[in-house]
Amino acid sequence: MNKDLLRFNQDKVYTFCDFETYNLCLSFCQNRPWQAGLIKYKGNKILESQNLYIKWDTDLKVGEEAARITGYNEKEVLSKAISPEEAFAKMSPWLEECDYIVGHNFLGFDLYLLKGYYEFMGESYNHLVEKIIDTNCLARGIKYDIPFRNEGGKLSNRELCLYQYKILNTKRRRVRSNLMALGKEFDIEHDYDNLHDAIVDLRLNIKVWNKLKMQINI
Amino acid sequence: MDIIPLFKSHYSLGRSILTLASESEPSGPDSIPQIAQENSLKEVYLVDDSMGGFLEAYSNLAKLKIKLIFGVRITVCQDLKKKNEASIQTSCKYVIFCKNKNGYKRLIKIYSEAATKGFYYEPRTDFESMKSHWSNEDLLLAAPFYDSFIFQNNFSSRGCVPDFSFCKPVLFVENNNLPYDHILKDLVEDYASASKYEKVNTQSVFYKNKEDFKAYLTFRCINNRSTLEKPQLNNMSSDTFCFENWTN
Repeated sequence: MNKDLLRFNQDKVYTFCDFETYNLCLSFCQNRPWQAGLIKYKGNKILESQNLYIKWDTDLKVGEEAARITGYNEKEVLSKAISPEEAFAKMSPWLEECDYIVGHNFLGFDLYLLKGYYEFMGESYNHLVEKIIDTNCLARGIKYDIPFRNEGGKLSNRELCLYQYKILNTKRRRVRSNLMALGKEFDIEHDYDNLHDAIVDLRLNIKVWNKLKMQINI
Repeated sequence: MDIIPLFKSHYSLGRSILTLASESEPSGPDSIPQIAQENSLKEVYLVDDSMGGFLEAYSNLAKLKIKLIFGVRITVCQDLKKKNEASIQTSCKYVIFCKNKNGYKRLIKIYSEAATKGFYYEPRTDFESMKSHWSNEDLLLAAPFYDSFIFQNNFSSRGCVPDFSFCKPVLFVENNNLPYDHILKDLVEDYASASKYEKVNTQSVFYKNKEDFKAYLTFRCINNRSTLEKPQLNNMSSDTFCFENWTN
């Protein structure tokens, strides 16, 4: 067993992260995360989780359709919400201190909101980019039959990052790789009715990651 | 280190909200010549996606005694005669600058061939066509920071093989704080030092100030037939593609 491979390494700490947002815009001037779900995961065990609701000083509204999909309830969210500064103080140590940040379509979406959030807080975010594992990219890489070549068996974060970008920028039709589709494809038991709640999504994300990591040289 | 502002005008359809008019309209779009004049620029680097804006840029900048350095950002593929999906997989962007009047004439020939013989969804040239019209005295080839062969070969599944046997290109480097900028910068710098090509720091300018980003984003959404809530525009997250960012 090669302990350099993530699938066999029980010591790495992963932060699974997912944002629920007002809309699908990548720019912070037009979009914000109103919920941040984080799960700290190590050695096939969930260590801790955080479900943060964030109250922004903004006129942005969640659209009717988005509210229905995500189960957004303004009253409930506002009653639990904390300030962006407070949420950032709880969230950023988990992102900074972990070995990998894992998310589904994280490189294509959540990362841009994270970028905006870090910039809003006057912090630099670039150092986080190369420790991102995007399960959407990994799943698509498998479906496209474009393998990740882990030269020498030791994982290079930069190589993995570039591989994921290659997959992100390769579009093929009729390839389904959303979390629900992958969960069902892998016969994963889960509370599918409550997907689009950050924490529920992340629990499925963990199960999908555990399947994916066995299929790629990682 | 000097950073060159690379202006793009509305002649690059759907890509810029800056015009080449002699002055900005009140509560209308900003004009590149006026921005240049207000900021005492002695020369303007204009990089458009077509030749259409050259005349207006040249005449309006000449009135202000500002030198125009004009370049076309063009798709270069392996073989312009091949028009299929595979040929798209070999294509990336380059910028061809004209250094003088002869350079302008040569650029017209390259662009005309690209827009006729090479056209496949967009004007495309190839290295053979460029070589046949090339002169290093008159033209300069540059690899833009985004969408260059370095970008495509590393961040997408494309395979773009450059042929620089007839010229010595310069490589542009930018920083717009996009998530992959620092990785791409490293790759460009590695390539530049291995090949001994010159690097030039640039700043793409599509709008005047950071506060204009929302107007720019709206414009891009209209052109993309999408909405601000769902723009479906890759990487559209940074408000730094502006002149204000260059002045800072």
